[in-house]
Amino acid sequence: LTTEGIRCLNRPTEKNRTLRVRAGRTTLRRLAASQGRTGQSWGKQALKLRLLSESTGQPIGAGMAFVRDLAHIVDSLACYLGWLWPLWDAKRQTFADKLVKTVVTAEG
Amino acid sequence: VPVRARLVTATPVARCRAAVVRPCSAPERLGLSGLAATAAAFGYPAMTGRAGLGLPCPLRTLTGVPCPLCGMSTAAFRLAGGHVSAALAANPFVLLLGGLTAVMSVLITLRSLGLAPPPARWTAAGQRRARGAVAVLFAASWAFQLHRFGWV
Repeated sequence: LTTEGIRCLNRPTEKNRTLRVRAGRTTLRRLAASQGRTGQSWGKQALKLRLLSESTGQPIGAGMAFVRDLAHIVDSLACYLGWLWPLWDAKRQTFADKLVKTVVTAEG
Repeated sequence: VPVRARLVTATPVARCRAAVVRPCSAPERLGLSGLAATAAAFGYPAMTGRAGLGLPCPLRTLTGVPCPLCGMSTAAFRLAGGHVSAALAANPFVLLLGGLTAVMSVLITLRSLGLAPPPARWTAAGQRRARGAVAVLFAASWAFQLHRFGWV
C-alpha cells in the first residue's frame, strides 16, 4: 500500500464504508472459525500464541470464539482499558477473556 | 499440561530470563506499549496526512459523558507534532505516560544489557499504594475531562 493508497482508503465515501463493513464481517467470521478450531488467528499463528479454554485447555469452538469477539465490545466501552488489561493482569486476560473464561498462552 | 497449571508454574520472571529483551513486569510492559504508541503518534500522521486516529470514545459516543482517557490519542499526536500546549489542553496526563515510557525504556535497555537488576515482585503494600495512586490519577483525569466538556 502506498501513502496515496492509504489516503484513498481513508476517504469517507459510501463505497469505502460498504467495503469496510463487508471486509470486517468476513474477517470476523473467518477469525472466529479459525480461532475456535485451532486456537489460532493469523496474528496468534505468527506470534505462536493459542486461545484456549481456561478450564479444559482446549480450543473453544467457533461459536464461543465468535462470542468472545463480540465480548470485546466491553473492552472498548471501558475507555479501551480492557484491551490493555493483559499488561498487568495475572492471567493476562482481557475483559472478554474473563467473560468467556479463556486464556491466551504461548506455545511450548 | 492443563492451562491452569501452566499459568501457575510458568513464573514470568523465570521465563523472562531466557530471552534477551522480554518485559517481565507490568511497568515494563506498559513502557513498551508506550513506545508503540509513540511510534504510532509519529508515524501515523506522516503516513496518512491525518492529524489523529479519530478514535471515538465509546462512552462519550453513547452517553455524552467523557471518560478519564478522553483526549489521550489527540494529546499524543499533538505532542508528537511539537504542540505541547495543545496536547496539554486535550489531556495533560499524556505527559505522565510519556515520562513513564521514557523511564521504562531506559530501564529495559539497562536490564537487557545486564546493567540493572531484574524486576523484583512488589510487596502487597506497594501494590496497594500503586493501585491507589492510579485510582487518584484516573479520578483527576476524569475531573479534567468532565470540566473540558462542560459537565463540571
